[in-house]
Amino acid sequence: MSNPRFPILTISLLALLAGLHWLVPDRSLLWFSADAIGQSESWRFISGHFVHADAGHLLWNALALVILGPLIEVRSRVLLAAALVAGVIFVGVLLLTSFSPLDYYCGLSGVLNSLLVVALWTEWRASRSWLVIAVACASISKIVFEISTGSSIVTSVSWPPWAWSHAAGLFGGLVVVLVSERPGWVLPVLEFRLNGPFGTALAKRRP
Amino acid sequence: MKSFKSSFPVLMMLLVALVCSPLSHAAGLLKPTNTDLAPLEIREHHVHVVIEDGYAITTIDQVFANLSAVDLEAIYSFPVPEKAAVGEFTYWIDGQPVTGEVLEKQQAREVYESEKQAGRETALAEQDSYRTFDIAVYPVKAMQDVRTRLTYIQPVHIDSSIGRYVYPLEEGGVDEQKLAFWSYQEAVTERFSFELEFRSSWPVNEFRLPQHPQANIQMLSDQEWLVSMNNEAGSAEEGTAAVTVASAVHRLDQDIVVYWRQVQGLPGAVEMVAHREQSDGRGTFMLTVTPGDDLAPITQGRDWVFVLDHSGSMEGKYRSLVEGVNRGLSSLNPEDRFRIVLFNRQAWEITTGFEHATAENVQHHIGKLDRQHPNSGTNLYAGLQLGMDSLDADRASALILVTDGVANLGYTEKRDFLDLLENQDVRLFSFVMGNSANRPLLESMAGVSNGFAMNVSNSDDIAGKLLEATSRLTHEAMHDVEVRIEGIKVGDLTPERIGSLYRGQQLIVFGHYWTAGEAQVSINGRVAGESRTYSTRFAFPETATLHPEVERLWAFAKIEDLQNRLDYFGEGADIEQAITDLAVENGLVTNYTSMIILREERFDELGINRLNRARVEQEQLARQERAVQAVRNNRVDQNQPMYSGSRASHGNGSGAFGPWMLLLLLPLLAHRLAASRS
Repeated sequence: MSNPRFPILTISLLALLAGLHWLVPDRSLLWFSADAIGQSESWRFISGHFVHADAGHLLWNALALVILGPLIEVRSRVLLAAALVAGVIFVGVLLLTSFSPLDYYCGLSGVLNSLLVVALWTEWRASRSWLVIAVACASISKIVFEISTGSSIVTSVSWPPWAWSHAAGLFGGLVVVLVSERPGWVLPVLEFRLNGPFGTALAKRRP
Repeated sequence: MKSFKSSFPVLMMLLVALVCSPLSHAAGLLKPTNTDLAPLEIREHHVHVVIEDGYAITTIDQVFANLSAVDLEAIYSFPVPEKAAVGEFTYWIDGQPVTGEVLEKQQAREVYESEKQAGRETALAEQDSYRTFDIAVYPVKAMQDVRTRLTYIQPVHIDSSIGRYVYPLEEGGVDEQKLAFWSYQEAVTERFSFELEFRSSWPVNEFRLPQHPQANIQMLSDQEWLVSMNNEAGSAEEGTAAVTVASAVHRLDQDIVVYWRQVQGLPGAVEMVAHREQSDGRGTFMLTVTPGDDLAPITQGRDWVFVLDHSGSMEGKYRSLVEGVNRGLSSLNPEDRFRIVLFNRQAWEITTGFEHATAENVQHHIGKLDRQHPNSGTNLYAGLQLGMDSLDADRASALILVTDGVANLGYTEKRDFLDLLENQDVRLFSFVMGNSANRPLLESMAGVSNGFAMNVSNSDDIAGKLLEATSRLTHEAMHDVEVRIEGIKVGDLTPERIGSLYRGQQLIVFGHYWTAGEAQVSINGRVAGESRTYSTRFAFPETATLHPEVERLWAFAKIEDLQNRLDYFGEGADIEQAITDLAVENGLVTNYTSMIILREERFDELGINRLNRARVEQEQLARQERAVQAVRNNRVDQNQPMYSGSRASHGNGSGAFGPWMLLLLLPLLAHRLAASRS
C-alpha cells in the first residue's frame, strides 16, 4: 500500500487531464454526448468529464483539483475515488435526461463539486470551523445564482458553463457523505462504517 | 432518459454521411477521350483565400505545361463554388498579366474561336450551368507553359456560430455525356499550396479541416488565423528518387472544407459593409444579420417523409444508406411517424402510409430497403409527388430529400417542381450531396416550401453537419421574413423573397442606398403563427471605399433573383437581357456571360471597353489597404441592439470551476495547512 499522504490519485488525474487535452488528436470523440452514448459510444459517459474545451477551461479545473484532491486524499484515497465516481454518475445521469438541453458536454467541474462537498465535510468533521460553513454557503449561493439568472460567473471558457451540472455534482457529493455518515440508511446491506473503507483517519478525528 | 433529442436529424445526416463515398472525378484539365494527343500537365496550383468582413475572396493561380511537340489548347474544369461570383481572370501574355473582360456568352465564344484560329493568345472563362466553370487557354506552346489566375468572391455564412468555407474540387460524375467525351487530368505535378487568411469581427476559438489533418493552423489572435498546406515536403526532395517525386503529386480530387467556431455566448448582431465612392452617388451595402437564439424547441410529434434517390449513381453506396436508415429510425421519437419513398426512373413507397417508429416497424422496413437494388435514371419529380401524397393536414409534415444528382427523367423543368411544391403545405428539406447536384433547383424548391437546402461535401465533418441540421429542425422557424429600411432612400434589395430563417441561420441582404444617415432597420416575420419584429437604428456611411467587392456581390445576388424569376415564369428575353447587362456591368461570369482575355491591343481593335480591368485594379488596391489595417468590427447595432440574447450555437456546455470558486477554496486550503502545522 502506498503512502496515503502522498496524493498519487490526484497527480494521476492531473496527468490524465493534461494527456487527454494535449495528446488526443480529436477530443470531440470523447465529449459527453447523449446521442452518441445511445449509439454504443458508452465511453463518453466517463471520458466527457475528463476532457476540456480549451486550455483555460483545463487550467481552472486543474487548479481546483490541485486544491480539492489532496484535501480529501491525504485522509482517504477511497473517499476521493468515491467522490469521483459519484460525480461522474450523477452529472452523467442528469446529462442523459431530457432535462439537459446540451448536445455536448465536457469538463470536470461537475465532478469537482462532488469533491468540494466531500472536502468540506471532512474539514468540518475535523475542525468544526465556521470557515467551512462560509465556503459551503458561498458555493451553494454561486450555483443558485447561476441557475436562477442563467448566466455564468465564469466567462473565459469557450463552452458556456452549465450550472445544473454543478448542482448534480453537489448532490453526488452529498450522497457520498450520506453513505459514509449513515450507511445504515443508504446501504443497509453493506453496512459501511466510517472506519471501514472510507478511511480510519476520519474516525480518529471524531469528537 | 431523453429520447435522443436529435433523432430525426441524426437519421438524416447519417444517411448523407453514409451515402457520401470516394469519388472518381475531380477538378482538372480536360482531354478528349478519343484522341492520341499528349495530355497537358497542371504544373502548379496555388489557392489563396482571404475571409474577412463577411465574404471570402478565393484566388487560384495555375501553371499549365505542354510536354508535347505541338501547340495545344488547355481546358481546365472545376465545380461551381456555392454562390461564387467569378469576377477576375488573368492570363500572362508575353510575361505580362492581362485581365479579362466580360461579354455576352456567344459573343465571347466567337471572339475566342477567331483569335484561336488566328493563332493569337487568348483565354476564356465560361460557366456550364450549375455544373462547372471551364477555363480555356490557347495556345500552350510546345514544351512551354502558361500561367493563369482566377478570382471569385462569395458571401460567408455562419451557422449556429460555426463558419464553413469549401474549396470545391470533387466532381460528382452526374453529367454522363461530358464524362464520356472527356478524360480528366487532376494531378498537380510540381507545386500545390493552399493558404487561407482569416480575419473576423468576432473571436474564434477553433479552426478545423476535417479531411486535411496535415494543414498548418496558426492562431495569430482570436480574430486572426492562418491556415496553410502544400506539398513542400515532396518538392524539397525533387530530383531524388522517383518514388519521392511521385509522392509529391497532389490530386485535385477532394474538396477542402474549413470550419471555424466562434466563441460561445456572442450576442445576436447586425453587421454592415458598404461601398460608396461619392457622397452624392449610389452606395451598395451588405447587411449580415445574426439573430439571437430565441426560437423555441418543437416538442410535438411530426410526420417525416423520406424521399431517397435510388438511381444508378447510388450504386455502391446503398448498403451504407440502409445501415444509416436503420440506425436513425431506431432512435426516432415514438410520437413521430414516417414514410419511406424511393425513386429512380419511377417512384414507389416501401411503407404502407405513415407508420409509427416502433422497433417492429423499423426492422420490417429496413428488411424491405435491404432487398432493393439502385439502378436507372433519376425521376425526381415522381419521387417528390409520391412523397407528398397522403399528408395528414392535422399534423406538421416535412419532406426530406436526399439526392446526389440531377432530374433527368419525367418532369425536369424547374417550374414544374415549383408548382408541385406550391400546391402543398409541406416543408422540403433537401440534403444536396456533392458538387454536381442541381443545387439551383433544389434550393429553389426548398425556398418555395419555406424549408432549406443544405449542401454536404464528401469532405464535410458529418458530425458538424448533423449538429447544424439538428439545430434547424428541432426548433421553430421564422417565416415570411421581410427586411424594412426606413429613414433613408434604399432600393434594389436582394434577395427579393427571403422566405424562412431557421435557428442558427444568418440573413444576408444586399441593396443600394442613395442618401446617407441614420435609418430604422426592421426584420419582420411570423413565428408559430404570431408576428414578430426586431428593430435597430444605425447610420449608412457618406462614403466607404474599403469594400468595392460588395458591388459584385450585390450584382450576383440580383442575378440569382432574376434567374429564379426566369425559372418560375419561363422564358423571358427581357430578364435574360437584364442578367446579361448586370453581369457585363459588374464583370461577372454567368450562364449568359463569359470572360475573355486577348492580347492588350486586341481589346482596342475589337472595341471592348476595359471596364473590368478598372474594377479589378480598384478591388486589388482595397485589398492591399485592408491587409495593413487592424481587424475591423463591422457591427452597427451596438447602440441599439436588434436582439437581446446571444446568438445560437450548438448545444455545448461545460463544467468550469473558474476563478471565483478558486478564491473560495483558497481559505479552505489555508485553513487545512494551518491545521496540519498545529
